[in-house]
Amino acid sequence: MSVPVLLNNLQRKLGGVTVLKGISAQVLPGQVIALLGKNGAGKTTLLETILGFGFPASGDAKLWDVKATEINGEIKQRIGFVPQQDELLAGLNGRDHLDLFKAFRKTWNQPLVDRLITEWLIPIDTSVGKMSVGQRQKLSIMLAMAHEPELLILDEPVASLDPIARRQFLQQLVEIAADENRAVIFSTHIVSDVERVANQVWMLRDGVFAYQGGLDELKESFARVTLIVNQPITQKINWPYLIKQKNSGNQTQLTFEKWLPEMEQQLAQEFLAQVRVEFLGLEDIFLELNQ
Amino acid sequence: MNGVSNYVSKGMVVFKLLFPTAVLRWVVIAMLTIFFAALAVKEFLQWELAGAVVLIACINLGLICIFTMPTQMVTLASSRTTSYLGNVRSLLFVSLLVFSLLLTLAICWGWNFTQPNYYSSLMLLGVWLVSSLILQASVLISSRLPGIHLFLLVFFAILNDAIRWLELYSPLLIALIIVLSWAFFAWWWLNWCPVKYRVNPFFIGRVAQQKMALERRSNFWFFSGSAKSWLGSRLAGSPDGLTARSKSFLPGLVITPLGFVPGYIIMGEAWFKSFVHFFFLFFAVGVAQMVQSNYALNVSRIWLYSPGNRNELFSLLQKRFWSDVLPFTLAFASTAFGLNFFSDAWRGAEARFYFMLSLFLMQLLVFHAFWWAYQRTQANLVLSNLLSGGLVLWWFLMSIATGFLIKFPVSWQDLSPLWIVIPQCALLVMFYKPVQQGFARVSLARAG
Repeated sequence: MSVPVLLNNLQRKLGGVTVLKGISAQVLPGQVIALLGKNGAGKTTLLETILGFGFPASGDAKLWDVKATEINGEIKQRIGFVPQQDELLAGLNGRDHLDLFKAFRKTWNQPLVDRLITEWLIPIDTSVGKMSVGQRQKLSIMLAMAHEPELLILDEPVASLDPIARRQFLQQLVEIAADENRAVIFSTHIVSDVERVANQVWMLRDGVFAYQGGLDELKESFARVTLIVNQPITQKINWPYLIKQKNSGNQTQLTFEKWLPEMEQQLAQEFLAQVRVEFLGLEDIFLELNQ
Repeated sequence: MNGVSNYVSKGMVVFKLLFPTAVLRWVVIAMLTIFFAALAVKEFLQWELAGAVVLIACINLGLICIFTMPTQMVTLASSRTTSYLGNVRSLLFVSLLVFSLLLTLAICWGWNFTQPNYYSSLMLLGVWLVSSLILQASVLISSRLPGIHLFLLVFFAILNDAIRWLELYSPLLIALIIVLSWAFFAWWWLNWCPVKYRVNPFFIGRVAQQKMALERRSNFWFFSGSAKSWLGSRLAGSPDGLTARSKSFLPGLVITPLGFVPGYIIMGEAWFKSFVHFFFLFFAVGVAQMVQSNYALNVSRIWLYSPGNRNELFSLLQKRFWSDVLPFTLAFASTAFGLNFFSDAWRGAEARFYFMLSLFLMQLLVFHAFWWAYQRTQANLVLSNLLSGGLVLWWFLMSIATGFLIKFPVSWQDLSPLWIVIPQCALLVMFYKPVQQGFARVSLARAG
């Protein structure tokens, strides 16, 4: 069975700089993937490459087994995309946009559109030029969702939304996630949103995935361990998967990126220390991986 | 910090504020260097040809300043960040005043250089008055409609007549008007409270520029209306319905004939006919460049909405290009040729046929040259526009050289239009295949 997105050792260069350095991944139906990364990490470039806007320097990006840069109209009908900056037309109002998109799409969920207009308070008869940035963003998201795409890609969709609108949008994503035939990839800086809806995380750092996998597995694999000993600690500890060490008096704080439960006892025995283990939240994990 | 270095550092700040990009600053510095070097050569080595270089440098510097200063002044005055720089408005005012004086001296020097001893020293006042009024009006207009002030440049075309007319009045009266105009401008400028930040449209990039223009246009009835398709509207950047498109031409249809009336009065019948002929053909060719440049800004936005792959997208672009360009070309070119038929410049049907052919070939060439550069530069709009714009400029120069566009004494009247058509065909052969085949590899990501 063909998967919605397949990335095979994907590399992408922009102006001579290698932005993506060999990314391999696949997106399966039912997955909601949060794409995290610092500013300039290459999130937008990755999303654009998945959608076939630009050519990989090497490797492949495929959508349902077709090279992303060669997708036809049939495949495009299965995709919904919300760019970072909306691409609405200032001379038209919301209703005009809906009519034009409806004419273009093969499927259209009018009850969903009607519900979102009411719930998200979209001023549908106002010219887009007169809408606020948040209202435009809501309209863009609605236009990308209305045809119930099998693959929905959103580039920082909640950046301009207020907390209520953000919560409503996330609720909508949860509903999409419930449909096992559909997949979502969204980039964001708001880590708490990821914890609410995503079941997969792609963490992009310096053009490669610093983490790629399930959200729960990620949260279970990152641990901050405090060792308490009888004398001040000055030594540098050399353990596998240790990414950070901070000494303070009789204590040392160690951050592990692939924590296993048996490591607690091993540490206690090796350093004759009292061991305290604390699992990190996603925001802390993001900071640890990007500092 | 001592007094001199204080003034130098303030001067550097004002220079950087008024010319906000490094490229622009280097161009200004290069022009100033050329200006002073050529002036030194002219004065000390008595080499008259260097005077022409001085004149060209002056014209370039003047145009750069007239182009950038008014909008940039408005941008800086409306910026909260620069408002904390203290007396920045006063410094900008002084800069404009000094520029008006330098411009006046440059114009007078230029006239004196091309027509020795033709003008009296009193003309300084007249030129300063006209320059001052144009610059002040430019800032005023920029505060409402950024970028529109450039149309005031046409008043420099009637400077000669204006000066002769002003020479009839007392120099004291002219001096008084100059002082009053600057006093009024200073009063307005120092007290003007912009409601919001007014971005300088020249320095924000083409994509943002287009978005800003569309949002501004959406407030006008002329640019409102319904769309026929999302694909066509998004590609054009405005609703593609027939009514909407027809309405958008109305301002041009009204303003152009209105502009012709003063043109006819100022130029006289013979020059006016040549001007109109030039004007229509300028638009006939220019429309291809404008449409093409606009498409390139929007093509990435229709990728996910176009019905097929990149090859089908290219076919769609070709189709849209001709459906947009052809009606204009036919209308403008027929009018221009019609006018030419009734003038003394008519050179026979065969020559006209070739010239008409060269016009259409030019549009085909603009389309292919643009996409050729776009493919090779990874969607660099500046370089793509430079190549296709350069070809348009070449067409104009060749059309002037053959005497088809405007009859100058330098025009080689008997030169066959085939001198234009044959190189065009050669270039088309060079571009056609690589563009048709290469579009399958074109990058549609973030054109800029």
